[in-house]
Amino acid sequence: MRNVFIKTFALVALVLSTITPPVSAAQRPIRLATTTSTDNSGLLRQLLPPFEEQTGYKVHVIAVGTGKALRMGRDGDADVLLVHAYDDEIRFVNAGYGVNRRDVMYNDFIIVGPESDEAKIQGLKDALSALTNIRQSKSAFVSRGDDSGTHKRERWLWQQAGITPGGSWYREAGQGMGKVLQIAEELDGYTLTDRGTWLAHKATLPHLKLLVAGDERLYNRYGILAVNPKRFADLNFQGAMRLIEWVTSQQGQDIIKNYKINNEILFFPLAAPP
Amino acid sequence: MKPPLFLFRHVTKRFGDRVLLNIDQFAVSEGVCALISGENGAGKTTLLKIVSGLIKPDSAKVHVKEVEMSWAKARARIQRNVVYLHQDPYMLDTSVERNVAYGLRLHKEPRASIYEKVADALRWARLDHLAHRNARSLSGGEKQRVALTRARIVNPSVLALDEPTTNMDQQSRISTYQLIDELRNEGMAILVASHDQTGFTPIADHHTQLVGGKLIEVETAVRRSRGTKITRFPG
Amino acid sequence: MESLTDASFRALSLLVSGDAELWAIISISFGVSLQAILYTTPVALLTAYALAHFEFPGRRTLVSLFHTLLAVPAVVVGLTLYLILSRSGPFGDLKLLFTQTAMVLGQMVLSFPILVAMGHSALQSADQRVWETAHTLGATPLRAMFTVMHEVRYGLFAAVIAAFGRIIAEVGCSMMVGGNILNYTRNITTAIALETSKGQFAQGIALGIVLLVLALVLNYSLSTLRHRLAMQA
Repeated sequence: MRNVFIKTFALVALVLSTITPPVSAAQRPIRLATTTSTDNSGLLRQLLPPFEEQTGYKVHVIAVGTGKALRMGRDGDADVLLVHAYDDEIRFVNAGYGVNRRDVMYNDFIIVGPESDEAKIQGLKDALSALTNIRQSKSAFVSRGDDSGTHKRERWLWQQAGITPGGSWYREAGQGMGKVLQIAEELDGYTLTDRGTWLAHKATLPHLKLLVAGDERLYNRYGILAVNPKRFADLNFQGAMRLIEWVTSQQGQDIIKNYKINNEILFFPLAAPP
Repeated sequence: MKPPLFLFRHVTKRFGDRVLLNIDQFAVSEGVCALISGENGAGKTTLLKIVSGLIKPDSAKVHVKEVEMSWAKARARIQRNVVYLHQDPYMLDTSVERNVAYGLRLHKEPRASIYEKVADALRWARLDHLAHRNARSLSGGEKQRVALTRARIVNPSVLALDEPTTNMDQQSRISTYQLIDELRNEGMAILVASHDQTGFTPIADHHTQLVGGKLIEVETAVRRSRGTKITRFPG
Repeated sequence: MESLTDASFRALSLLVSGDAELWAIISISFGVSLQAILYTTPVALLTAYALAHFEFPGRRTLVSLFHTLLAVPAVVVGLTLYLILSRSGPFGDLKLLFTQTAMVLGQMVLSFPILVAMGHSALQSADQRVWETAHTLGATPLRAMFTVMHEVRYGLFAAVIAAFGRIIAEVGCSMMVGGNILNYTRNITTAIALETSKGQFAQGIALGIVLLVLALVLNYSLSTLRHRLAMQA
């Protein structure tokens, strides 16, 4: 008797679930904390709408530096993180703050600077000697200074080159990539940027030029991960998982692959096909 | 007789449509005390301010020691020679001493000599005991005396006094008459605008009344001879 | 999240331990705002005096214009200055954008209408007799002006303090034209904005405390001046 009741209940539930449309107004939004580069470059505006349409989820994008994004994840202020600081991400997962980290895509960092190129770094294949030249010529270098993924990479590069940057030539802006590029443009300075943001802003930066690229130290990997649902009760973990699934799906990866600005690819898909 | 210091001719001043002043001739002479009486609003203050160079008349011919000159040029001469005293004199927000020193400090005089002169002047006006008080805290009569001292110290040729004795008690009035008389006897030209006719008539050499924008000569009852010492003042 | 008490405690220890970066930020704030006030005050007070003392066509329009300018948001000033100073703007060759000079300029623009409007009403309240007394005792027009200003000095101090209070607490314009560069154009307000976006609250709180203390001091001096002003009247 009891068994029949459960079976009936399950059947009713199943029927109800099939007639309930996938798009439900009651879906809670997914809070995506991400780096400024994915948002500034315009990628998210291509990647997210089809997801929202198919699943009925709304995605609230909070574009901040990677450091802040990770911190928001730790504090339960975001459900899912799309960031680019591989070592920190692994540490984040190992500490139990996040789960289900997946590679998403990669692009590369580049060093841009003024046309005059006083530090003579154009064409160098080695990022470290480029930085050394900049340091020696005391040309202005604009740093993100905001603990973002790009900033972390920049500090790592200086460290690798054995230089402690500081002094009046080293300007810490503390702002997003787009703003830092503008500052470099105005101050005739060098800066480290992700290729995506550079391509998106290049047209408005007539005095800046791509000078160094191709060093494997400049490789820039983006990962996505969900915030550990065990830590906070009110996380939208299901939504987070659906989003991760979408971003790493064939469809999502195709959108990334096909996203171009001025005929240049910004990001290269990295997720293993499911 | 010496020519007048300043001779103002055809002075007109209007406010909007109303003609306030239309004066044919007004002379300012050394050692002469001229009393201008008139109703409130007759234009006494405006006339004094024009004669002191504080208000620009709509038209006027000014002769300075018999030389006719433009208003702009005459104004500079007037400013150097005439000091105007308000009915309710403005006390700068500082000590009595510094108020009196103000005019001297405008010129590059050494500090020591300024304060020597100030001390003398305060003694003259019997204000020395108030030297370090804030001038704003004084009574009306004391303020008037500070103003008079502050004016005298810059050594003007002409003093223009606007209702100097209103809001004063009898005692202050008498000492004001005395101070004015003394200054006149030192050779200063004194212009007094006042409706306190009785008080000033004994010391005024000349009395005109401002009526309808015009100056009318008033026969003074007693034409005093110059140099008479004043001993009595009418009630 | 770091608890508020922990962050506040760290903020206090940053302040008392004389943290170099923190105090550099504070000194940039004061340096820039004091410069702006120093350069603006004479011009603004002259303007205020002209508006209070001379009758000329368009005077009333100008007065109400300055009162309108009081309400212009800092970000609009920042945007305008940005466009003017940017390399593609008319003064791009000066390369002033993202420098302290640009911040000083922005704050000058912001403080000018406050100084003019408040200075004007202070000077207007001055008795006509002040000017007449000065003039008749032989003061040149310039000296007469200084005498008038001296007589309403508390009102003018109040204007300067109010203007300083506004520009040192201003964030939009400094952020836009200064660029928030560490040890160069990062001042108290832009640093607070940045530290919050980085998730580092202690420094933000420490700087907030500085601003609050400053606001207290400024307000206290303002009310003291108001008191003096009332006594004077």
